[in-house]
Amino acid sequence: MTYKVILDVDTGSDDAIAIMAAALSHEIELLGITTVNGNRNVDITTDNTLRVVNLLGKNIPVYKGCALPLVSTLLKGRRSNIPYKGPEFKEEDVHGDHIPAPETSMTEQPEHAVFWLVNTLINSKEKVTLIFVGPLTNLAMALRIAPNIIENIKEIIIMGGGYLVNNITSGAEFNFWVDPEAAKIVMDCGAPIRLVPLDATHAAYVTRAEAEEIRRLNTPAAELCADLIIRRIDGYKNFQPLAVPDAVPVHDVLAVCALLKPEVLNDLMSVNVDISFSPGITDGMSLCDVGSRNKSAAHNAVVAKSADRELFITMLKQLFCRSK
Amino acid sequence: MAQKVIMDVDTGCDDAVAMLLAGHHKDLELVAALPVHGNAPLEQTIDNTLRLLEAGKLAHVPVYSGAEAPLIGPIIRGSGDQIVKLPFPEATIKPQPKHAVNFLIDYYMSGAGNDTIFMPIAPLTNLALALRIEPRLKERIPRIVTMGGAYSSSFAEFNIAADPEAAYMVYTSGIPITMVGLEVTDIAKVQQVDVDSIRELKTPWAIAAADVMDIVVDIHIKHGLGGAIIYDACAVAALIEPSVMETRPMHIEIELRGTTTRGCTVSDFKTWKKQTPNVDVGIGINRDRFIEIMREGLM
Repeated sequence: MTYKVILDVDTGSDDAIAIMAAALSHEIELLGITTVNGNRNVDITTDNTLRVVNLLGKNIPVYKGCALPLVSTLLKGRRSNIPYKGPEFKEEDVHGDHIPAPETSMTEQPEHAVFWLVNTLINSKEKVTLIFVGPLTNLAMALRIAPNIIENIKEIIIMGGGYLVNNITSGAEFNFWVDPEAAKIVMDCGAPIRLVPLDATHAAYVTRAEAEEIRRLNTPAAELCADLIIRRIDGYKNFQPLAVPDAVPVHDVLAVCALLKPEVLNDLMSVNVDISFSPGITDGMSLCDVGSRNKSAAHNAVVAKSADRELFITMLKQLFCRSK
Repeated sequence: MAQKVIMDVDTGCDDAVAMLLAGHHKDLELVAALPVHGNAPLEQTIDNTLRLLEAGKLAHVPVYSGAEAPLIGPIIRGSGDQIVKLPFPEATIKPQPKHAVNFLIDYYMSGAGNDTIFMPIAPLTNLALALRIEPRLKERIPRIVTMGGAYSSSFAEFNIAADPEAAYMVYTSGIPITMVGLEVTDIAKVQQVDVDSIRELKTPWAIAAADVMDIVVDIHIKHGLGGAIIYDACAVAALIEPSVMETRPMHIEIELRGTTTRGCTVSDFKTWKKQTPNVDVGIGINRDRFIEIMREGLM
């Protein structure tokens, strides 16, 4: 079984690992990678994406996407720190500007990510799986331009949102917080959605010892993967400590693993997920209507509350021992 | 040389008259029409645009379909009287395969549009989407002449209210803007005698315009407006002959929140806050000359 996949990223340490996992999987045919503003501005996330593709020695086209969220930066003071330059304390920064992979002269494709998404989906002869692990701006824009693209979307797997766990604020997860309106448009688009929120990615933490085991797989991808995870562990230590010491979630790659082995996600619930735009602490919050209080809102996603950590680690090791 | 213009429309009766005027006035060249959601659902604004262009002998003007919903919504529609299927036969012409947003970017970024005015007389969704995809577009569009907004009203005008975020992006883009708002359109009332004088020009386009304006006169007289308001045609007249409309530079901001004011074009026309003006706002129009311009254009 192979899946035709479009991966959308804001690379980003965990995005880089997700790109490598998708590219190394033999079951994924990566049609292209689209980039977006998120962990850093879109020029940096695109450059980082190209570095990863170059490191892999793969011929995967990269399309640069939107530089700003749909509308969240318009209201004065609402998102004054977007494009994001990283957290206030540098020690907390799990990404850095450029990922520690060699610079590359590779360039992105001339076509804009939004138009490429629209054209690729409209012209595809079979349905395509979308894995989106950054703010959802590109897909929301594509849906606004050509709503009929959903006919050719097999499934959207999204790393974003939180059920009980959040990160950028006490109410919101980073990807949804950057572009809440895009998240709302995508969640309500009508295509099948599997949501991989922070609850699942935090359950699938990776320890320092496991990162070192991955390093010993001795491929360029494995080494970069280990470097990125170690940096994340150091960044989380003092600022977002987990119950388990010396461990960190590697959010985005769990979304890729969820396509390859759906059973890596646990505790699934079919619910309506709504997004808050209210000023204040809930801006960008994802709300899972577990009690079905909103009778007019259909279930629009399957949300994973947890993950099978052992299986996840096994999958990472299997993927990263490959050099092609 | 004729002034080139691209019209972004939600056709609509007044859009129809505006396109007939722009398409046939010797001083303008209508480069393209971009239907978008607005007065009616997109499907109908496309259908109306195609019918109008064909009936008005403007079938050579390419039509590029645009966005069917505002950036974030919700969708609001104009008063029921605006949702009119135009009284023309079904068109044989079809929209171009390219999307309006794609067309805008390709056209202006190619350099072809250095002298082409962009005239949105509808919600501003298409240009806002284009600006998100290609921010450099703001350096390529020489001027926007738009029907929309109202500088002295505490209620929002429809085109802005139908997509306030899009309007915000356009009004803060830095592109020079001439705004033809309700203060102008509402004093340019067209009477039955004016419509009749246009019908007497006997060209197919004058007759088409008169057919449409008959509908509007009827509705607006019934509503007690004392004449027909052909909103969008005022913007075309102001482009043909800028002196027909008095303007004043103002600082305009679009209200995005507000419980009753979302979509208001908040203007600092007394310059209390000493903000740099970003819009040339129409504050008056010579009504008789406006009718004359329509007659000259539709001859």
